[in-house]
Amino acid sequence: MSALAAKADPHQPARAPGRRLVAWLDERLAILFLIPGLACLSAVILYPVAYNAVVGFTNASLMFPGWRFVGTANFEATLADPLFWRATLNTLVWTACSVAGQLLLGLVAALALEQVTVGRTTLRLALIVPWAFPSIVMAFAWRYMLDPLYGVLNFLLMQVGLIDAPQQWLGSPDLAMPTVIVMNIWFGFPFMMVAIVAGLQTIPQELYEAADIDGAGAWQKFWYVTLPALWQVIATVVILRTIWVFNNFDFVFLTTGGGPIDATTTLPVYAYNAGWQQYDLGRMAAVALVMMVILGFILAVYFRLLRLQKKTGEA
Amino acid sequence: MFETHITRRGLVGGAATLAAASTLPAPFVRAQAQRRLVFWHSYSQKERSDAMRQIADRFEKANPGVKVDIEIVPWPAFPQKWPAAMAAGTLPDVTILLAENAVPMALAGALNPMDDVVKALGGAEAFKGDIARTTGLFRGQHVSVPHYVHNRLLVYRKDRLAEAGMQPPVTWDDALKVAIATTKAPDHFGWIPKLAKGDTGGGFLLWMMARSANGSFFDKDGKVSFDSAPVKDATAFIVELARKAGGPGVTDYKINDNFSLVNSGKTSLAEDSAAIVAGAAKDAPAVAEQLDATFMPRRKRVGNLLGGISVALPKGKNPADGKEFARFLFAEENYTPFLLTIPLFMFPSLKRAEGPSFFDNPTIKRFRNVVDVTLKGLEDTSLAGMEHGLNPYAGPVMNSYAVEDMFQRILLRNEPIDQAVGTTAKQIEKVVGDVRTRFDRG
Repeated sequence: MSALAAKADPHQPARAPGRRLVAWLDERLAILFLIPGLACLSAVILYPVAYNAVVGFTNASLMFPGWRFVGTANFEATLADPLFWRATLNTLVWTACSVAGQLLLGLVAALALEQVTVGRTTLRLALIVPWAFPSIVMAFAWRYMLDPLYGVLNFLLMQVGLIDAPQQWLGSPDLAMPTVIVMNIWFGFPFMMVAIVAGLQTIPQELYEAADIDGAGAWQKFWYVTLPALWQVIATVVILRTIWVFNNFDFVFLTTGGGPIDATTTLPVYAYNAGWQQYDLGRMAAVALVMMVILGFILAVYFRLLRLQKKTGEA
Repeated sequence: MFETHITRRGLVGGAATLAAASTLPAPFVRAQAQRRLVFWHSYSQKERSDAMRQIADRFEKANPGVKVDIEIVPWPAFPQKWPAAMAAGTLPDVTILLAENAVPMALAGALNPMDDVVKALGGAEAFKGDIARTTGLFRGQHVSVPHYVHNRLLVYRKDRLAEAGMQPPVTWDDALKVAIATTKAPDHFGWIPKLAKGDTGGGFLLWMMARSANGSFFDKDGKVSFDSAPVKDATAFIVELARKAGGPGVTDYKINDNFSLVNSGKTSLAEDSAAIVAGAAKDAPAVAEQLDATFMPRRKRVGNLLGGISVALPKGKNPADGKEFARFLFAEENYTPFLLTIPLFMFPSLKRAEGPSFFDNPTIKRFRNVVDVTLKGLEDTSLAGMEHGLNPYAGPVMNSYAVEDMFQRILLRNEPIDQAVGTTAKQIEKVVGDVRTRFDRG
């Protein structure tokens, strides 16, 4: 007899409170099983976001007990700071160049890897190496390689005569941002490559055979067969990498600390300095909220483009 | 054969009963538990963490019923960890911390006073120089006690000075001449100042030189005195040093890079503590043979910079045992052996620890001049920006990296020194003003 039928039956003897509780719990078993997962999600996502939103409107500080609401003062101070706008521009350059470079290199590497017949697995593993190391290890390894006094890169470039004197790759305002972007491209392209390789393997071989019969060249096969088939994969990885790179803190902070001067100060570094160096948690939270808005806008543009592309494809 | 039938309803009922039953013995378990003492420290090296565990074991033996739980908190994690612990009500009973980190903790009401501990150790006069006051006294109370200390020195290569026919520098002019004379670009450079962003190397160096010229960044009330002749004079000295004898990496290097710069022989002079010599003795013995140290060069006086690691008593759950444990750390059988776990890294804050048991250590004996210069410097030294005692301004000012930013603008963008100092003074005024607004409000 179902629980519902038992509830409706007037001849059913009255049950003890303990049994009623068990029955009540039993009826809601699915909800009970969902509670731990939902609680975890709330604890690690909803609570921090909501807490951050509240703190952004307060004068909370690591140095002083208590806090009070200060309205939009943190946002006004942030938007009035020229360094914030410099950091915003740096972040957009850092994100756009890194993601574009990673995509391009990942795509080329994936297409090249597809042509390899011997030792493909080994090669694939070797190309994923950057992802196997913690960012602090890689950041310091890069710093040593690029060091102006004993870095191997300057040594090699001087040996082959490409430069006359050691360069300050991370210490020059003109070179620092391009250098950290190159480092980030190196770090991030394997992710793109692996995803694109997986996408390539889903493209039916018949499409290429049909293209061959139609007399298509390599470039035409890539443009009219491969690229359209990969579009969804590429869009997904670009969106993911955009979010990750935009919010990336450790790579920039560990290599340049945001310098020289402000050449590589991105928004996460700017927020960190406000909160953990200046002890101004309210200001840091406000910057984080502004970052969410900027990132939300970028993603909205991406999704809009995706929808347009989908409609064009369907038409 | 037994057959067991478990219905879904039975399982849920059983789980609910078990969950309810499991809470019943909790008060009794708690009542029978030992007194737990939570101790945070940041001594992550094996020698030091082992020594801390041994001290904790001895404390447990001497105080039956107390269990010391140690948590190693990396230095960079500490500023983020204590506010989270305070919010969660899980502050430790005793902690080791950078002396300057006691200020925000004290302001936040996270610390118990340590006046009793200082008194039990012999009062402020039992400590070297004025360090018990300048590193621990805040708003009339001792909020921390210096566990160990060190002082910034000018470490130099004896062989390079001899080759250049120079004596260890005493004044700024001497230092500049020695730095230029011992530069052999691109192989090595005279003195590489560490002026990278995201590090306090530039701020510390400028503060020492400004103090040497009888100046400072601000007074004890937070009134900014950065745009002044001594600071401009010190800035000009460091810029000249960087340009003429610093090599191409001055804006890349951080304080911690000194180890590799000294060990690789890339720099002939370096501003650092005696630890740099200990590092070389371990990793580059041939280089260490050539190292010695003198005081930082003077304009009108020596601008000593103290490095202080302190003990504090956060508002944990076991304040009484915490106080006892803090005292126990300084007990004779614990203190000097701990200082010598990594010789030359740690110098005694207590005068009474300067005895044969300290000086007879082979490494201390081997670099006795480095030790003597350090100990002499400790008699008249202070934390950066805290020459008048602990204050809430120095930390945010140093951590704003405004000074490093200034040096980078001068060196990389050729900004005139007067203009750069003026701009930086305004940045520092803003930082100090923000702190003072909250500080005055209490």
